[in-house]
Amino acid sequence: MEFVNIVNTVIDQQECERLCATPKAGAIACFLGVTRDNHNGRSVLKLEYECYEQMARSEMRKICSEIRSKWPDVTGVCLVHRIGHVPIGEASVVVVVSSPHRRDALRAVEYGIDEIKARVPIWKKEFYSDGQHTWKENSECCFHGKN
Amino acid sequence: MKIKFLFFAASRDLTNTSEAVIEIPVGTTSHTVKGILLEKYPKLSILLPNCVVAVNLEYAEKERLLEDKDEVAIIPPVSGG
Repeated sequence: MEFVNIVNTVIDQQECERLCATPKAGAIACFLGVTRDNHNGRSVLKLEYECYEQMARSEMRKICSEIRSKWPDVTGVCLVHRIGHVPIGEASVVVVVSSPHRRDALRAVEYGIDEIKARVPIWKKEFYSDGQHTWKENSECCFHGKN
Repeated sequence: MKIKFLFFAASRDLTNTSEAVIEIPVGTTSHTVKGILLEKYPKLSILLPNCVVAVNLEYAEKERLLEDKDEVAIIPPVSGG
């Protein structure tokens, strides 16, 4: 089972886990990326995400396939990113992987979130309490500072 | 030939548009097209060196030749997650 989605409302984490559950899976690992109220000491009031949706979905599907080839025993992969306004403390991204034993699921979840942050065309804008705002750049971005 | 360009996030803010159709010469690559964009959108100069180009939904190698009707997206450093 592979499931990819981009949504503009609350991500249903339990639904992601349900999608990955199978009788063959003894492990379901889940990562939630949650919006923070601060960055480098600055107070963050709100965050907004936008994406290049078709390409973002395509890259997320590729990440699912890569997880399947790296960990062939994996039984389910679910990658969901939220866009638009994401209130502080809510999940902006959910990665769920199921596998017969825990190690594959845990490692694949880490790979999934690392690759999302590195290359899926999604951007985050932070709005600060001093009225300023900025588009963020992930330090993990695969082409950051390499051009 | 005519190419459709898409701008996102910081690149959209600097160009003031999310898409544009621009005439470019045959032989333009996904790298040399940046020069053409800078002429049209000088404000992009602060960001474009850090951007990569996606052609038809795929990250493009620098030497990728652009073709008529390609969809070319200017991708600023990503910040998903």
